[in-house]
Amino acid sequence: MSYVELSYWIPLLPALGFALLALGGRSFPGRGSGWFATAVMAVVAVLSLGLLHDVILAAPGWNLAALLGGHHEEALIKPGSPDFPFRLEWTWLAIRGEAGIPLVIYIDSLAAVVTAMVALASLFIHLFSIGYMHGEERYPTFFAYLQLFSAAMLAFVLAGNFFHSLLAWEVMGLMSYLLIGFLYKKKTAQQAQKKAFITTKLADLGFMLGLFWLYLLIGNFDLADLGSGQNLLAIGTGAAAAVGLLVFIAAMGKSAQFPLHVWLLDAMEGPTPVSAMIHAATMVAAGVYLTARFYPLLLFGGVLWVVALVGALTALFAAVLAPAFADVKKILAWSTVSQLGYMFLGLGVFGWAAAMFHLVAHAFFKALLFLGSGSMIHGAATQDIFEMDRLKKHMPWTYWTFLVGALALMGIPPFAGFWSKDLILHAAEEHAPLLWLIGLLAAFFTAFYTTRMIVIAFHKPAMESPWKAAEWTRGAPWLNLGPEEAEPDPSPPAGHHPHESGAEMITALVALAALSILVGFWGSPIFGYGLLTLVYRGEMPELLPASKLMTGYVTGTLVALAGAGLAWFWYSADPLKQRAPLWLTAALQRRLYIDEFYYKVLGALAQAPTQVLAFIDRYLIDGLVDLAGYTSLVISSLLRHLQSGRFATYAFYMLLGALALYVGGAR
Amino acid sequence: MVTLGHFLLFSGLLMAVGLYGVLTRRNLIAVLMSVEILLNAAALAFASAAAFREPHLFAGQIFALFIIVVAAAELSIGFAILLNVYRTHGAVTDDAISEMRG
Repeated sequence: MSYVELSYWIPLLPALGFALLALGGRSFPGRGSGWFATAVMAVVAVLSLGLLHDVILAAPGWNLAALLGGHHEEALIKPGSPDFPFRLEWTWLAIRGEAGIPLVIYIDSLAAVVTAMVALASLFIHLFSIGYMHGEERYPTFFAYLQLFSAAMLAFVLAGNFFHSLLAWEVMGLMSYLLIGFLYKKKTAQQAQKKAFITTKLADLGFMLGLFWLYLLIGNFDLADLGSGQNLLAIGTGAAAAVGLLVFIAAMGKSAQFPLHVWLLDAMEGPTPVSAMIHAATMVAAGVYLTARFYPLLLFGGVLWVVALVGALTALFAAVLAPAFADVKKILAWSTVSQLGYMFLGLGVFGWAAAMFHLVAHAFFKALLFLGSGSMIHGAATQDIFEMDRLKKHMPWTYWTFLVGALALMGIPPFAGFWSKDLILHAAEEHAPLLWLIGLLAAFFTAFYTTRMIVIAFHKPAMESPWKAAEWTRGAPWLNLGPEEAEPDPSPPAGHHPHESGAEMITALVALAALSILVGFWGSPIFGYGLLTLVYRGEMPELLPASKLMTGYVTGTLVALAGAGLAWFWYSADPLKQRAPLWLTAALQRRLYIDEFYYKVLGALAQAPTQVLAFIDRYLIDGLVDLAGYTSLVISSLLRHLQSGRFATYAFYMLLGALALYVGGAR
Repeated sequence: MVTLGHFLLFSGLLMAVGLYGVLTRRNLIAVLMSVEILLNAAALAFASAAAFREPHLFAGQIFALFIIVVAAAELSIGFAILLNVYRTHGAVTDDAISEMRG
C-alpha cells in the first residue's frame, strides 16, 4: 500500500475529525479535544510526508549543472515514473452514464510539497492551540473548525479538478469567517468577519465566472489538462487572458492583494492560532497556489504583468504601512500581505518555482512568527508592542524562535526568506527592473518594521503606548464602528509580570523554527535548489548558479541590513519619539483611509441598487401578493351570500342543479 | 280510460306539490312531509311505468318498495334530528338552524 493510494485520507481524516468534534466534542475531558485534533493532524502529517517521499522517488530527476548552464533540453537524467504525476479518480455526479465531474486527486511535485507544508504547519498550530486556547468557552468548537479548515485546505491542494478546488476554496472562506468571529461577543470581531467574508466573496465571483467560462470553452474542469495544446487552441488567446484575469481577481481577494487587501488586517480579530494558520500560512497562500495552477492561461494577453504589478505594489504598500502600527498581530498581518505580494511578483516575472519556494518558506516562518506573537500576547497580556516588558528576559524560548522567523522574514542569510526572496528579486531584475527596485524597497521596509517590532517588544521595558489615546484611533472607523461601539484593546493589568508559555506552545515554536530553517536550505543553491528542481517542470529558466546570483545576494543582504540598522538605531535610542509628521502617522494608522472609503463610497453605491430592489420588492412583488389576497376577499364577499344557512335555499340550488343536468342530458 | 300518461301526470303533480313544500315551508316537520310526498311521487312513477310497460317483471314495484323502506328509515332519522334541534334551539323552523350562514 503506497502513500499515494492512501492520499485520499489526507483531507478525509481531518474532515472526520471535524464531524466527531462537532458532534461529540464536549464529551472529551479537559484538553482532550485539542489533543485528539492534534493526533489526527499528526497522522495526516505522516501521510503527507510519506506522500512527499513517494513523489520525490517518482519525480523526474534533473542534472543541475545542465539546468544552471541553460541547457534545459539535456538536463533530464531520470525520467519520471510512468504513472507520475499520480492521479486517483472516482466518478462523481455521473448521471445516466455521462462523465459528470470526476473526483480527482492529482499529485504532482508541487501538490505534494504544499500538502506536506500545510499538514506540518497545521499540526504545529494545533499543538500550539492546545495551550493557547485553554480555558476558552468553546474549546472543542475551535478545534472542530480548525479540523474542517485543514480538511478543506488539503482538499484544495490535492484537487485535480477545478470544480472541487472551488468547493474547497469556499469551505475555507466559510471557516475563515467562522474563526475570525470566534470571539463573537466582540463587536469588532463581528464586523471583521463580515468584512472578510464579503470582500473575499466578491472576489470569488471571479473564480466562478472564470471557471464556468472555461467549462463552456473546453467542457471539463481538469487541472492537469489545462495547459494542453488542444485546450489552449480551443480557448483562444483573448478568452484565456480573460479567464486568467478573472481567476486572478479571486486570488487577489483570497491572498489580500491591493485593492482587496482590506479584510486581512481585521481578520486578526480571530484567535492568534487562526491568524497563524488561515491568515498567514495556508489559506491566504491558496490564492498564490491557484494562480500558479492557472499559469498556462496567464501567459496570454499580458495578464502576468498585471500579476507582477499588483504583487510588487502590494509588497511595497503593505511594508510601508506596517511600521505605523503598534499591535504585533497587525504588523505581522501587513507583513503577510507584503510577502504574498512578493509571491505574486515572482509569478508575474516568470519566477514560478521561486514563488512556490517563497510560498512554502513563508508559510513556515510566518506561522512561526504568528505563534510567537501568540506566545508574546499570552505571556504579556497585551497585543501592543509598547506595553510589552523586556520579553527577551522573560520569554527566552519565544525570543529566540521569534528571532529565527524574523531573520527569515527580513531576508538575512542563511535563513529561509533570504533564499526565496532573492530568487524572486532576481527574476524581477531579469524581466522588470522597475519592479525589482520596488521589491528591494519593500525588502528595506520589511527589515525596518521587523527590527522595530523586536526592539520595542523584546528589548525595551514597558511604556505607555503612544497612540492608544490618539483621536484618530478611537473606535474603529476601518470597521465602520464609532468610539462607543469599539473598545480599545486592554492594557495588561497593573503588576502583571510576563511569563514564558507552556510546553506544547514552546514545542510548536521550536519545531516551526527548525522547519523554516530546513526548508530554506532545501531550496538554496547550497543544496542544489532541491525544492525548486523538484517542482521544476522543464520550462522554467529561473535557475542560475550561485555565483551569478552573488550580486543579488549581496544587494539583498545589504538592503535588509540597512533597514534593520536604521530601525535599531532609532528605536533602541527612543522608541516613543515621533519621527513621522503626525498627519502621516494618522493616515497610515487609518490605512490610508481606503477601508473607510470602501465603507462610504462602495456602501453608498451598493445602497442605490438595493433601494431600487427594495422598491420593487415592497410595491411590485408584495403588491402582487396583496392583490391576490384582495381579489379573493372581494370575490368571497360576493359569494358569501350564496351560503344563506337556510335549508330551503340549498334545496333550491339542488333543484337548479338537477334541472341543469336534465337540460344538459336532454340535449 | 286511464293511461300511463295519467299516472305520470299525477306523479308529476305530486312532485310539484312536494317541491313547493320543500322550498317554501319554514317548519321542518312540514318540509319532511313534503319530502315524503316527493318520494311517493317517484314511487308512483316507478310502479305505474312498470305495470304498464313490463307487466311480467316487477322491477318498478320493487323500486317502490325500496323507496317506502328508505322513506321510513329517513323519517325516523329525520325526526330524531328534529327532536334534537327542538331541544337545542327551541324551535323546528329553518331560521333556527341557520348558523352556517356565510
